[in-house]
Amino acid sequence: MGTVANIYDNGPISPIARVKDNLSIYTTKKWFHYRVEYIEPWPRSSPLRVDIVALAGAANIAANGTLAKRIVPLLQVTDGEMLHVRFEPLDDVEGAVYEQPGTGKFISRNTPARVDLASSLRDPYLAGSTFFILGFQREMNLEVFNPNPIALFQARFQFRGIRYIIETIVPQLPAGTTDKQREEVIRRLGEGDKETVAQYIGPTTWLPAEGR
Amino acid sequence: MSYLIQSGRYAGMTAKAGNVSGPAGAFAIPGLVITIGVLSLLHTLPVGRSFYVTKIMWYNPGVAATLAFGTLSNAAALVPMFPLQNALAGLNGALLEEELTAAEFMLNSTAAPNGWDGNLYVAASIALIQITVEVAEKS
Repeated sequence: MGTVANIYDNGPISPIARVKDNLSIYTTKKWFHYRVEYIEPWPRSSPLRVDIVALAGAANIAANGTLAKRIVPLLQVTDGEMLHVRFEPLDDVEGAVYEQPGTGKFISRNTPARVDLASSLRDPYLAGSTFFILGFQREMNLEVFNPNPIALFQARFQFRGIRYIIETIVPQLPAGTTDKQREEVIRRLGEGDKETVAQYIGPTTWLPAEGR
Repeated sequence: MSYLIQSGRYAGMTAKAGNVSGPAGAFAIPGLVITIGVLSLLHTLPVGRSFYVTKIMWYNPGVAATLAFGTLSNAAALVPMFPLQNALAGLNGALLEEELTAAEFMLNSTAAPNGWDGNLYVAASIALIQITVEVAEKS
């Protein structure tokens, strides 16, 4: 605990924390603090496979064309749940991840990276495709590109990962704490101030889940 | 339709059938190409990629013929990449990966007559020869 571990390591996927560990998650430009209550695997299997051409209701993905970014329903979760996901295309297409429609993931200033058919060869455990989904209506969006000079009739993607159930930690402040002091502690917890987190949350695993 | 090659000299590339079909390769759908007696397209090079030919299969229902496989120069002439093949009357023929040199098909935008488009073509001496190819695309 207390370190970022196994999140983007180039190895097989494994839980980033254990049951009853604390988890501090960076999302919407703030740190939120949770306790892991439950973990289960989400194995690679046919229900976790989606054909984006069919999902889009399209006849095909055009030659050198794009299927606009869209929510992938199999990745939707409820509040209190978190998915830790890796993915790959099964057809010769490329996928770009968006944290909700507005913010690209795996990006530099000008360019989003994509996961393609060859990603698994250089990165056999697909660690470089890792992303997280936390809670209801916080879905990822997937944009698909066809690098071929012909239309393709399938653009299948396979997902797998780990599912967590997490509980929000309510910091226990000493009796007599004023409202102003409470606000300051909450502000510092949101900033991810390490000393404040150590004092009011305890040892935690820092998870930079979303870069927005 | 395609798969990642995991071992051998083309490891890391994507194997797939030629991405055109029909008379002279007129349809942008993978499948069987039927020659028309002059140039026929067998595979179109995707933007930003190159490829090697890993298999060629044909059937000649007509008289004895020849097949020249290559790419198209920017002066619209065939640039042969492999030796001329005999397509004997009424027989099948095939060239496998071990029999094909690792000629890399890629775009060369140099002005004619030096450059070429990088697509795979066949110049058949007769029409109606059936041809399919398999390629390994580097990306």
